[in-house]
Amino acid sequence: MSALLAVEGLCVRFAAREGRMVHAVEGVSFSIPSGGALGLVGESGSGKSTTARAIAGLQAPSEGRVLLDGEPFGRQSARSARARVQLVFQDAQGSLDPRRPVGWSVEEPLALQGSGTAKTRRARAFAALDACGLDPKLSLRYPHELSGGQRQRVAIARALVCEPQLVILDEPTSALDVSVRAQIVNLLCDLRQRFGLAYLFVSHDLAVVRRVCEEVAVMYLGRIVERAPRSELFASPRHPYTQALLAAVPEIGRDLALAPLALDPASPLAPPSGCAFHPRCPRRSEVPAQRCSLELPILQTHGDAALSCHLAAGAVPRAHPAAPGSGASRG
Amino acid sequence: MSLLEVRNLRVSFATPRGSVQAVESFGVSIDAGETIALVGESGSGKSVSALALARLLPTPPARIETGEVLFEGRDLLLLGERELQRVRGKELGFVFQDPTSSLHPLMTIGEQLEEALLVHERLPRTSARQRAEWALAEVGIAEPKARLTAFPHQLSGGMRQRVMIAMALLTRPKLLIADEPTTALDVTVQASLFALLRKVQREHGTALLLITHDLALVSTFARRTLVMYAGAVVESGLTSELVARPAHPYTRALLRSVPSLSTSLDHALPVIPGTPPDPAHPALGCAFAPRCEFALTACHQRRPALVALSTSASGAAGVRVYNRRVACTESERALAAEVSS
Repeated sequence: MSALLAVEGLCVRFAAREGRMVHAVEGVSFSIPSGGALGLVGESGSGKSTTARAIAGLQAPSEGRVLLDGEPFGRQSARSARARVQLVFQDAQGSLDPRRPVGWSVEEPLALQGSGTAKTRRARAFAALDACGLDPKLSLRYPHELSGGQRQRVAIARALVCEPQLVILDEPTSALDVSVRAQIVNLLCDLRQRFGLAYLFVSHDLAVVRRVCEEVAVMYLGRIVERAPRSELFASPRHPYTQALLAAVPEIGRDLALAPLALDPASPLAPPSGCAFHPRCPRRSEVPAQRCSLELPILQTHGDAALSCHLAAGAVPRAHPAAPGSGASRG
Repeated sequence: MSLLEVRNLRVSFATPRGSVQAVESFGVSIDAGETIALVGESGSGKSVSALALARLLPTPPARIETGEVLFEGRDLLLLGERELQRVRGKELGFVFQDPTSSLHPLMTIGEQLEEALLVHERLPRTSARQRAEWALAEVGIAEPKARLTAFPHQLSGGMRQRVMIAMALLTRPKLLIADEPTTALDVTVQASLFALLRKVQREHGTALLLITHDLALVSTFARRTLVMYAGAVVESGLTSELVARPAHPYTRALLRSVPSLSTSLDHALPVIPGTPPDPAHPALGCAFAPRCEFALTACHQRRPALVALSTSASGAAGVRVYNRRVACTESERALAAEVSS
């Protein structure tokens, strides 16, 4: 099976003060099949947004490559190829021109591509707005005249109008109110099914990721530490970090695991030695000979899941019940 | 007597396009050591209510139209500026969402912590420094002595919020008002800050007014909850009961629309149609009626008052309604039927 998006050994490094380097993303590899959705989760500073920006060509990778349908993808790609990957950010206000009606902003990508006539471009913009649940009459309004939820719908319409194959969503629901967030989550699920879109969904909100994506990768200080199908990751997380992250999510009707981790995250400027998670890891004493603080664990693949933890290295990989429906999308 | 008793607080803002009613009616009573949550979406008036009760809103443009704020029996709205400052600095503590804008960027953490003690407790500088160091240790900051000389930008977001909590607790306030204290932080850091708040409350008997949009967080942390919508409290009660059996259609819909780690993915997430109302154009009737699935004609014509949920309606349904108050009179029958099902 050839993947729509393949990321191979992606590294992004920034120069910091005093000649030091920040390893924002280190050796990240994954792939997304056509029409698939991968959620990229982790705390702030984990490199999840930088990974997304590097894939979109907004940030030059220091190493590694990004392939779209087997072809190298990046800034140098032809405009028509780049149109196949679109972006939606957290802050829709910042993505829309405040001095133009929103309809203009939705048409703009088509105009930049020189695609069609003014009339067909308008028709496509109206269709995209309609698909996002907005009355095309709103296209004459300015961004400040719309609510936060409506603005995010416009930003999604602007991404859709190019008929992309992959949409990269960076915290698309984080700035929205609870009642509006649910609407946008449903819209994203709906659009994916209708148009066969693939998503790379970056978020710190695990419950939203669970709704939208059938596969999840967990990042910690620049590296993927666990990757698994949704049904496995949420039911039986294996990395101690994933376990702590899930335990810390407040849930109605469940007692909050207060302080699942004793320490706050380390700074990406000074990552700990060995496994970067080891100073916070509640289970590091289970691994003999201080291996966690000395040796970097390798991301090992077991079936359709992957894990980077010394704890699991000696253990028998968990048996996967052959569940053909495990990756099935929601109805 | 309650520690804090707020009655009938009404706040408006003067804008170029006329007066906007930000808080239409707010009331709460908090006992010593109690944790109460104030839940609502943006624009619901939850933060304005909290700022108004401590008279922290700039007037004008804000105007407190009516209300009483009895703190240990004294009405804060009637106090002179000097007395007010004494209460605010010593008896009330505040923690806001963004510690970066609450901390002075050019003063060290130590100087900022000591300031409150020098002003309110008139401590000599050396003992103020010692108290500041203890305070940092208490909120779980490693190497507190070294951190005293750090500037805010040298600390992580979670660390800065710990400093804010340390600062708010320095003078041992009786009430801590925390407005979205962990919204900008990661869930793991949020969990450890709430562990810290719980420890502080247990050790010092501090009452906590927690303002948040996160219903799931509230459900695990606060004993009682008030739900606000469009500037008014629409439901209040014991959190455990309110979450299990919400009575107001807004509370019900809000609870269902929260994505969770365990609900079935077979169906789309239930949503509340539409968007919260614009306070510049208030509705005549119930503010939630345009989005409410139970709305009757009468709901659009008259604004319901916050009343105790009648025991006849709920008693038959077997719902315990300890002190539950709901602002939804017209739909009460439909609700009673729903609640009993």
